[in-house]
Amino acid sequence: MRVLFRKSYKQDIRLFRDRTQAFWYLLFLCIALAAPLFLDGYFLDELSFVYIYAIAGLGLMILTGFSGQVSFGQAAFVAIGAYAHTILLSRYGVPWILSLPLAALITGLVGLAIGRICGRMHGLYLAIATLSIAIVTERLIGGGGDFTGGHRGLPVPGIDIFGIAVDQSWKTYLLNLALFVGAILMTRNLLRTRSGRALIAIRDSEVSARSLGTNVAFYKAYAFFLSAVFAGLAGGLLAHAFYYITPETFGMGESIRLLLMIVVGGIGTIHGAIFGAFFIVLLPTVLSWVKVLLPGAIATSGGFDSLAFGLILLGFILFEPDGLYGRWVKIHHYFNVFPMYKRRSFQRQKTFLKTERLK
Amino acid sequence: MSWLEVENVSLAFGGLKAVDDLSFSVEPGKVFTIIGPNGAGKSTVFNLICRIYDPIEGDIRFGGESLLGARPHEVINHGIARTFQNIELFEHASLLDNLLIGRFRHGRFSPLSELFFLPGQLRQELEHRRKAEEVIEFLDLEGYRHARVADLPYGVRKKTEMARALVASPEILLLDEPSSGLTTEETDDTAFVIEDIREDLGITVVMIEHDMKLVNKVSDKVLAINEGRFLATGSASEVQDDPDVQAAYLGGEAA
Repeated sequence: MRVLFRKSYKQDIRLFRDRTQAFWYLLFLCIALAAPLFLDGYFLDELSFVYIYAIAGLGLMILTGFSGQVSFGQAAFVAIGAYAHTILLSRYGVPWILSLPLAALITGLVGLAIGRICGRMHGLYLAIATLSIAIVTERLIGGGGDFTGGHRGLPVPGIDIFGIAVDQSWKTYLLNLALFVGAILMTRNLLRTRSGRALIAIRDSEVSARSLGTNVAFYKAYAFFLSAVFAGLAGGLLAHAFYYITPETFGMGESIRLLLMIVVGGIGTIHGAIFGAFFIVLLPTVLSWVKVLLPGAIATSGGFDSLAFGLILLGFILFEPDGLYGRWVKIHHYFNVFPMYKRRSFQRQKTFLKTERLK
Repeated sequence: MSWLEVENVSLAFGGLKAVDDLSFSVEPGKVFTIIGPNGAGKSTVFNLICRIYDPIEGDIRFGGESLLGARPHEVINHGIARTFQNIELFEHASLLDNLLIGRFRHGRFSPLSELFFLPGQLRQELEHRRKAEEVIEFLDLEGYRHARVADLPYGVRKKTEMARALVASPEILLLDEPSSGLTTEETDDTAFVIEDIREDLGITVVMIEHDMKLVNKVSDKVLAINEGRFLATGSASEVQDDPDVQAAYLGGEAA
């Protein structure tokens, strides 16, 4: 087993723990950058979806995983971002390079307003409130008449950056990759600075976060804001990936899918959002391979995908609550200490009883 | 110099008077202990100072300035840090991260600088880390620096909470039962730590404590309360000899 020998405080602050880690992440980045050379359009589009979902997932991770506020309404923010971006582009002729950040900002402000209200709620009540936001947003967009295109939907114009048309799979792929990496870096930066720590403090104990100077309501709203900005950004990118958006694209089911994504990926970690995005985007493809092997009556019945998804989620909650990333950490540890691995290394001690908790 | 003054403070939960016309003052550089039987309102006094509860009467002043205008998260800016009776740590973060959160008041909200990790951030982070390391050394927590708080033994968690409050570099430290749940050795250790906090760091300590051995050892002044009311104040032995205090603990006729 390798023990990290620290010689400088900076080692705990820097992006990468040591050279080995930096090497692996940069290698991944190089492979991702080179992917258009050896993958065809279909896989590039699939990977683009992974990146976009991961951006939305990182947003939800900030809100749910780090600040501890459950949200069933993330798809509403994705929808607002997608519509804001599309409307700015097609109706007001805003250049793409301005329209996307503007759409993210608009979504962020909506998120801020909602966070200001929902920040007072906890647990189940927060879940209900955010769920209702998802439903209301879908209805509002559907009833928006010509402005939002109603239930007929809106066509999404192509991407044009300073006169360069981003119209081929490999171009959109690289664009999505760039924004995805940017989103990861921002989340990472958030976590290693003051505001990110404040969010984690609020998640674990509001009363002591407050006693140390955290304005809890403010930072809860800030988490909503950041989460919505990420969702808005993902929404804008998703609109291009779909070419045509309708309110149903961002329905309640999508919100739940996003939440399941971070749970399956591993809640409370950046890796979790990314692993979850791979899972959720690639699962339908894997399921279609599985279906070929199954008897026709089962494979063609309507709810097969939902059933499979539900079973997988159930399995994760029962057997691996830390998600895919948690499993990865365990496998990594297994080889690290081979052959001395003990299952109990990851068993949590009994947490001390908390009584007289102040809200 | 800063003074903590609690003046004629009352608090009621419905018909129950949790604190009844209580007054006391803490002198700078001293260890001030509040004792009293269970349910006497000791923790409630802390929660009043920390603005978790609003008194229905009276005033709480620190350094001549009333605290009643401050919101709960602003109390720390006056230089008042606290620990909790039932340990309120950030369970899923490392000990070091817990301490860094303690540095919260020594920073400003600057979203862009944080999200893009501008050069100033690194400087600040290093500064926070240096301060955290000072406290880690002060409390002998070196071995646990990177451990997750949820995995630490109770005594260390208790110390971590004290460390987190010290990292905020307060002028006055409120300790809610620093020795509860500790072993005899750890309690003895706590006595030395409290003396060091006063002597070396020059921080005034207000503590709630049941362990009379610890109280006798470190307190400069003791206040006894019962049912939210003032019973006695003075040195540790004076208070223990007070007939009202003995009656409150042991029962019997109040003198």
